[in-house]
Amino acid sequence: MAYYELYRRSTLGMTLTDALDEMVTTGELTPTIAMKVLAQFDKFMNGALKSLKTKLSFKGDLETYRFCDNVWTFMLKNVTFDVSGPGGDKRAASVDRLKIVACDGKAVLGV
Amino acid sequence: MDVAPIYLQVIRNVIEGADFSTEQFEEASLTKLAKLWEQKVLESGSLRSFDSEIKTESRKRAVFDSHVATSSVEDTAKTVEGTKGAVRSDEILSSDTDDAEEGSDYDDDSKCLNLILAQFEKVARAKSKWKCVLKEGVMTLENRDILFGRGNGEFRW
Repeated sequence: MAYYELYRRSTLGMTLTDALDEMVTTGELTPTIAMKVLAQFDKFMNGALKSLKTKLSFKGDLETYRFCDNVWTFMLKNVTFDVSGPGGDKRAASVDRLKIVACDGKAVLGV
Repeated sequence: MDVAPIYLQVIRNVIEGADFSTEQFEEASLTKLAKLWEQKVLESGSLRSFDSEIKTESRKRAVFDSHVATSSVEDTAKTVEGTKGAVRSDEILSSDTDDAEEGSDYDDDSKCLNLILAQFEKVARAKSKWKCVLKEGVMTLENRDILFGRGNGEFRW
C-alpha cells in the first residue's frame, strides 16, 4: 500500500531526508534502508494528518495555476489566513507569497 | 495547533515501526538517526507557533531537548541560521539568473518559501474566482509549521 510522498517536502520530511543522506554518505545506513524509512514516514505522516481537526481558511490573489499529472500547483500573492483549532482558539496571519501543492484527495493509491 | 507533539509522534512511529529484520542493521544507527532527525527539526525553527514565542519556544525545546543532547544544539542552531542568512544574501548579489524565471520564491522576511502541501478535495473556478477545498495539509509559513485537517481557499486570478 503506497502513500503520497508529497509530505517529504515538508520540514519534517526534508529533515528526515537530510539525516538519512548524512548517514548513507558515512556508510552507516544503506540506501535500501533509507528508502524503507522514507516509505514508513509517508505512512505515518499521512496517518497523523488524517486525524487532525484544525481548520484553515485563506484568501488571496492567484498569480499562476497549474494542473498536471493530477496535481494542482498554485502561486498566490497577498494571502490572509484564519486558523481555528479544535479547542476553539483562532489565529490570523498574512504573507506576501505562497505556494500550494495539492494531490488528489480522492485517489486510491495502490501498490 | 501544537505541532511538536505530532512531529515527535511521527518520529517515534517511524523509528520504532521500521522492520529491518531482513537487513544487516544496528539499533545504534536507528537511535542515531532519531537524534539527528530531531536535532535538525529543532534547528529549522519550524516548531514556533503564533502565540508568545518566548514561552512556547522554550516549552517546545524542552520537549525535544529531553531526547536530543544539550545546549550545544541551540548554539548550533544560531550558527546555522547565521550562516544561512549570509549565504542567501551572497546568492542574491551575485546571481545572474533572470528575474522573470518564475520570480523569486523567497519572501523578504523569511528565509523559506511559504508552502502548503495538502490533498485537494475540490477545485472550482467561476470566471476569475477560484475556490478550493483542501484536506490533511502541512503549511510552512515564515519558518513556522502549521498542520490542518481541512482548508478552504478563495482566490482571484
